[in-house]
Amino acid sequence: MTSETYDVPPDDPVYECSYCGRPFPEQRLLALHRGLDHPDRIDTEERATFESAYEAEADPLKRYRIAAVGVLVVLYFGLLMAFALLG
Amino acid sequence: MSPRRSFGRYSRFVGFLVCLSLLLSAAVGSVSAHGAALSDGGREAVAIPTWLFLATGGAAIGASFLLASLVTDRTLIAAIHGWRRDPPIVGESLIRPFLRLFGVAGLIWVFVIALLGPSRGTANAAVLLVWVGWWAGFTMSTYLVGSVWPALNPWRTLADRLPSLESSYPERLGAWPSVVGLLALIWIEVVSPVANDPRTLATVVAGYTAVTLAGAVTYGPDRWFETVDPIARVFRYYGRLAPLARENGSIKLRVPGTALADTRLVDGFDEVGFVIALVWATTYDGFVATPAWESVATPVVEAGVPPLALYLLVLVGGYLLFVGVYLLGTRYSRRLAGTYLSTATLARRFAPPLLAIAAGYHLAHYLGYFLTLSPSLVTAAATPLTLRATVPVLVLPGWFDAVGLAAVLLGHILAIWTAHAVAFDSFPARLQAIRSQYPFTAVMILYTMSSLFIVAQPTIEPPFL
Repeated sequence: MTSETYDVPPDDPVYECSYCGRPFPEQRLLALHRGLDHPDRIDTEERATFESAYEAEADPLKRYRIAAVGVLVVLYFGLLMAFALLG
Repeated sequence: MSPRRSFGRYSRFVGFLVCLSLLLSAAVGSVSAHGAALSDGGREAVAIPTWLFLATGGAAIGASFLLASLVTDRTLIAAIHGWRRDPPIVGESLIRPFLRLFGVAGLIWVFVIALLGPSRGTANAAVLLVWVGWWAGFTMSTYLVGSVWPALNPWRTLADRLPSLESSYPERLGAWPSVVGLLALIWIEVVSPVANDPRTLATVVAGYTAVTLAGAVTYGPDRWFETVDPIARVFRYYGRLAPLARENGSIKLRVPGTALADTRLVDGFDEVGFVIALVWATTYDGFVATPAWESVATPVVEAGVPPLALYLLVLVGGYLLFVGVYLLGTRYSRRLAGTYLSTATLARRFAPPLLAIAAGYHLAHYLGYFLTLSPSLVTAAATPLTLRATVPVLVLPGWFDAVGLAAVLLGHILAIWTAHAVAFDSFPARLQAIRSQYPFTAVMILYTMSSLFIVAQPTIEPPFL
């Protein structure tokens, strides 16, 4: 793993990981990072924050998936028709 | 909720979509049978409108991104990328000295046959060995199987036996000399008759040998071949795609391409510059052999610009454009993801997946060439000093053009997948990781479409040279 460098704008909020020092712009991202990258070091409270942050992703992710599949369908049938008409 | 469960629910669905994308690629493949002529001149005109052909290629890349983005299970991604086996390889210690000997003997043989063999390139075994055997065939083996270049490299074997001054290398130059070296080699390959004139080939080989040995003696062979030598770097990077590689001392089998998600490969912007140079080099090579280039270059040359300078200008300008577009993509990616990781860190991490694109393009460019001319190489090498009136070539079936097109698309798809894995490794939130890939996907769609445009054009000799 190469060393990471950070670029934090001076006026923006910073949530820093107490285990590795990586800064995040949102509390939610810090909670996810702690659970994913330091699963053996976090305490019960941090684990609970991680799990709720993880579950909070489920709904937007589901909406994203529906949109993605929608685009796929449009692409597929769009090209199918283009080939049928022009091929 | 465990991250593992989220995949199970979607796996059947994703499987269905993978089939769908294969169908889509197959559709693109059949188009190519009419459209693309990769190796030797346009055989048939594109039967469908060019814009539809290009749009289908772009759509295949977009669809691959959407499919990859449906896999949001980190444990699955980690399992695919972490998969390793120990392949049974016998006599490894015997292979190494043999490869060293073979490399040095090959270099001397190329030099002698290029000078003393037939003067016609298509009948000269040295020209065939360098371009068909080595630059086409051996390079393919480095990314399809595994790279043995560190052992085969004749200059390395020779340099190891020479005294070394061990001067300190100017660190601020980093890998940039290898970028310049690679672009210079590509320029020489395009503008000089090195690809078909044996005497020119002998000069270039002698020149490269002199520069390499002088450099290795000055800075020490380790430093030279790790940092400056462009050929060693090309094979080292291509070797990262291969299923076989040496990891921590022993040879491991891994899923092809997955090691590109490992962020250790590229650790400075100079190395990002080299990866981009490799991608641009393959594009440039194809672009200057198209009628489109001829029609753009004709008025410029008629206005009095020397062709050699024009070729150099386009080589450097195109390279800077590629670097600029990549950096712009990285900057947008950083903004969309909402992260404090620096642009430099992201540029380094997302560069290795581009190697899959370079390899796909190389395969498209050279597989047909390699198969067509392999019989010539074997025949010419059997009697290297005799001038034959004809040399045998393999005639490939018409559908073979589709293989080249599939290689271009597969390279991009592999790049999309590895970049997806890098994003999941870099960003804690799943949608954040997906969002970070929008700009890169847009760039890749544009790049695929321009690559396909080049591939679909008939191939001509680079004009004005």
